[in-house]
Amino acid sequence: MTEPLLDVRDLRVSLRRSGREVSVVDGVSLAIAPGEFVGLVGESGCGKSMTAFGLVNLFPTPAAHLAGGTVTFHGGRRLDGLPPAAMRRIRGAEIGMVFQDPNTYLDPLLPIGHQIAEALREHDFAGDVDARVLELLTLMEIPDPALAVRRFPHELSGGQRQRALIAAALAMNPKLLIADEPTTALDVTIQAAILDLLRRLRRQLGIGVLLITHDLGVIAETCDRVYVMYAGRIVESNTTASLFATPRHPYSQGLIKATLRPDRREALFSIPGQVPSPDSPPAGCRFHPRCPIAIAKCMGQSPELVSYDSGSVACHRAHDPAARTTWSASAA
Amino acid sequence: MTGLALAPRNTLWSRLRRRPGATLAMAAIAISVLVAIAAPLLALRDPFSGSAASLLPPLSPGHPLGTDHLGRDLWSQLVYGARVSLAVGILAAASAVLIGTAIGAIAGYVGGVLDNALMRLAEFFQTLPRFVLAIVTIAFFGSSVLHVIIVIAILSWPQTARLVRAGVITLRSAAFVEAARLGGKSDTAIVVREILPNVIAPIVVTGSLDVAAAILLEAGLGFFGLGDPNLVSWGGMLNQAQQYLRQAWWMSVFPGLAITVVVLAFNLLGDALNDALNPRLRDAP
Amino acid sequence: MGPHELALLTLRRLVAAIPLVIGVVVVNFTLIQLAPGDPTTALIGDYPAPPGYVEQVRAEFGLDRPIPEQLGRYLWQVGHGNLGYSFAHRKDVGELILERLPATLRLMLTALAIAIVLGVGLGILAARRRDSPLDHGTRLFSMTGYSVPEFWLGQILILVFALGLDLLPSQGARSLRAPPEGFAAFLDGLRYLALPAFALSLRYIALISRITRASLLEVMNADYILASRARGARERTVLLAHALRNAAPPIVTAIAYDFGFVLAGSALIETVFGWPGIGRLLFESITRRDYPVMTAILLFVSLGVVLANLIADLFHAALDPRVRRP
Ligand SMILES: Nc1ncnc2c1ncn2[C@@H]1O[C@H](COP(=O)(O)OP(=O)(O)OP(=O)(O)O)[C@@H](O)[C@H]1O
Ligand code: SF4
Ligand SMILES: [Mg+2]
Repeated sequence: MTEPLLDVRDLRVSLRRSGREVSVVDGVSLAIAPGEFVGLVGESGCGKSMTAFGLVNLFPTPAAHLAGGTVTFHGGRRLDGLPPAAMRRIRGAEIGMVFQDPNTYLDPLLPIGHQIAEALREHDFAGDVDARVLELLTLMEIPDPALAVRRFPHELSGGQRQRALIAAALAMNPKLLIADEPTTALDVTIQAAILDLLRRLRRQLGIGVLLITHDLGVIAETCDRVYVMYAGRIVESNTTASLFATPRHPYSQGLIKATLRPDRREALFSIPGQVPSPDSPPAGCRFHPRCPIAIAKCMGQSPELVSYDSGSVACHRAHDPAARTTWSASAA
Repeated sequence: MTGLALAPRNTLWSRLRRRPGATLAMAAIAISVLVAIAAPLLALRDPFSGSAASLLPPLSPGHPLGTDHLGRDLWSQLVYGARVSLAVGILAAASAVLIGTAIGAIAGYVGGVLDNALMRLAEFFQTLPRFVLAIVTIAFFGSSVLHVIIVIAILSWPQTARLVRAGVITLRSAAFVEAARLGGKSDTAIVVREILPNVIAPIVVTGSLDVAAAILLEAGLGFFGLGDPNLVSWGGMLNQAQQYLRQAWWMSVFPGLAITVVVLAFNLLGDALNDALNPRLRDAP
Repeated sequence: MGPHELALLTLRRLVAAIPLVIGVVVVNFTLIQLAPGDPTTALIGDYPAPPGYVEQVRAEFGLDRPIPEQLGRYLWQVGHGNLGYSFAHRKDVGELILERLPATLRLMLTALAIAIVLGVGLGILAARRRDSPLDHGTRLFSMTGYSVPEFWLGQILILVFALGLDLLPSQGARSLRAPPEGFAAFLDGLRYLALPAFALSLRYIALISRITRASLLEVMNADYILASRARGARERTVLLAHALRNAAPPIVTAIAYDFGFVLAGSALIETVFGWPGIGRLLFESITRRDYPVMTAILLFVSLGVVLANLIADLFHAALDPRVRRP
């Protein structure tokens, strides 16, 4: 990879919970090249959103805060430790964000045109704000843009709301778009349309995209590369094609098995057990309580993320041929 | 469920005691109640008997807080005034809570048209200007402590009714209520024994705030000259003070302070209870 | 919101308020009926009235008729603006009240303006510095402000600022030698307004600052606030464009809801400061047993509360497009 757009090393995010520090993102490293479409996948509660918030040092709760790591952005600029005023000028201007639920992320009392224009005004956009808003709405394929600017969120469909939010995120032509489960709250057909839109925007605008999802199916359709996250850590990364062809980590294998739905009617697979609470993560490999091929070493020693071919994996048995088909033997 | 109702109350007590405001408030309330009860012992002389020593300033011999325009001892008046303020405050609030609980329980449990009608009534009572209505009513019916208590109670029940109704509606179909119903208990028994003990918390909170509001209302009536003419009340003392502001600041300062302290104590207590009963707010970062 | 939409909404809310107003008149009627003694006394007052007038009232209100008919006649009379005659003031009661209304409105609206500015300001500060000494201080201040009887606060203000420091006048609404109009008259009015308006506003400041703090803290957790920050909005924009706007409805509701209390407070404050408004009129009518004035004031104050709630509703509709559905 040449000069990356975003280079994250050992990112840590902690939450203050009843006086205790709880680590929810525990040393995540990832990189995105300019114009690259990268996925971050994992079950609910793995710390995907907290990773995304950590990148721009903006959290949904004052209890969360960065606890370590470096974030290097375009042009070698360090984002971690940036003063609030300087960080604000990056948010929305150079890094756009889109969230899960378009219903709650739009202010119900303001027309959407106003909210899109906010991104422009707050960054002292030099051109014609109104014209730019119309241009964005057209780019987002929202019908009748001139009317739509004056619509309130409740007058729009879910898909249109998400398009409005994407428009606001892209208003200042950012180099990176972070999309945190942008389709989860939408109907299936609208999901596909939004994913199409993201793909097209990436081609058209040449932006890098970090797409966060718990659905590997979404990743397969859109991403060049993918990071698999479990309990606050990256457990595997690879190109999308290689990951689907030869997943090395038992967790990745499980996620893929849970995604691929053969035509035959077969009981839908899901990995037994639950993501551990960040209050008390298991010792050793954090996946071991759910791993069908765990060995004694797994309980005592945390596996390092080790590079191989095009990817990397954190599993003591990654190169054990028996670990290639983890779930077929035990699958219920 | 009575066993369960006890457990949170214990932790509630300990949570309350951890708040300095609540401890202070409870101490102030306890002291004022004791003063009211022991008024005949604490008073230095008959609060009604005047003397030639009129408008004596505080710290005068025999009159720690001074005397009023008729030479009556201010300290003794203040001590007896505590009786009226607390009696009216507590009894009016208790009656309001009783009325509100009954109406709220009926509305919530019976539901339907009756519920609708009762809640409309509550809404109507809440838009009525309480103080002015109380003034007009007392002016019509004559002032006595009993009238004041009745009027305040009649004007103050809606808040409790709303809270109780909301609680009853959520619990109406709870598993333990269903069990009691299948067990053949009467509706009254179910409401009184099973449901109400579980909505006691918000009732206690409004009850405490109601006492504060009732004491203020009573003081306002007293200031308007509508207090019981046969009793000393803090509001009545402030009414007299109004005419002698120029000569005797102490006639105004002490009764007003007394009202403020007692009302503040009940407001603080209600506030602390509310916080202690709402862990969501308490644990927020 | 277009003017047509606004008119329609106002009309709908007005219609919805009619039962409330009728209810208040019924309350008055009930009081008159239940009051000990002859209902004519309750309708005329204790001042000597010519026998002819007593007969006229008996006839107009049908006092020898069955109760339902009396109620009907009472509603009819009040509905047609017949609020009675005050023999104490030798004036039509409706006229008397309209004469005193401007002074009360001046006092109340000034107090309201002070309370909104200071209350919202304090609430914002407390919310932004949550759990700081400032926040705790504001909390204690508002708790105290909510517990002080306003009329006593008025007396204390008089003791300190009028009698003690001799800075401001303590009685009345204007000085005897004040010029009839112009800036000097305005300044003179302000000096008289200062103490009563502040005494009246304290309770409101306390209420508004608490509600503002709570509402703002809740709104600050909303996703759209996070989205606005993620868009790079300055904190000032986040607060003014999103947070305060969304936090406003509960504040406005509380202001309207407590309007009756402020009217009542105004009655007490006017008495303390000799302010020539409706509150002082109420006080005077108690000592003179001028019952028609009292019931008419009750009606007016109730109407004031209904009107305040109506305005709050319209404000909601102007603020929130979701409320506007015609
Ligand atoms: N606002 C919050 N307050 C407190 N804890 C939170 C908050 N948001 C997330 N957490 C905790 O942080 C941890 C990581 O959560 P995060 O939202 O990053 O997970 P996620 O992978 O994005 O899951 P999801 O798919 O549900 O969005 C979880 O244990 C969660 O309980
Ligand atoms: S390290 Fe051990 S427990 Fe963890 S995934 Fe690999 S085999 Fe399973
Ligand atoms: Mg998430």
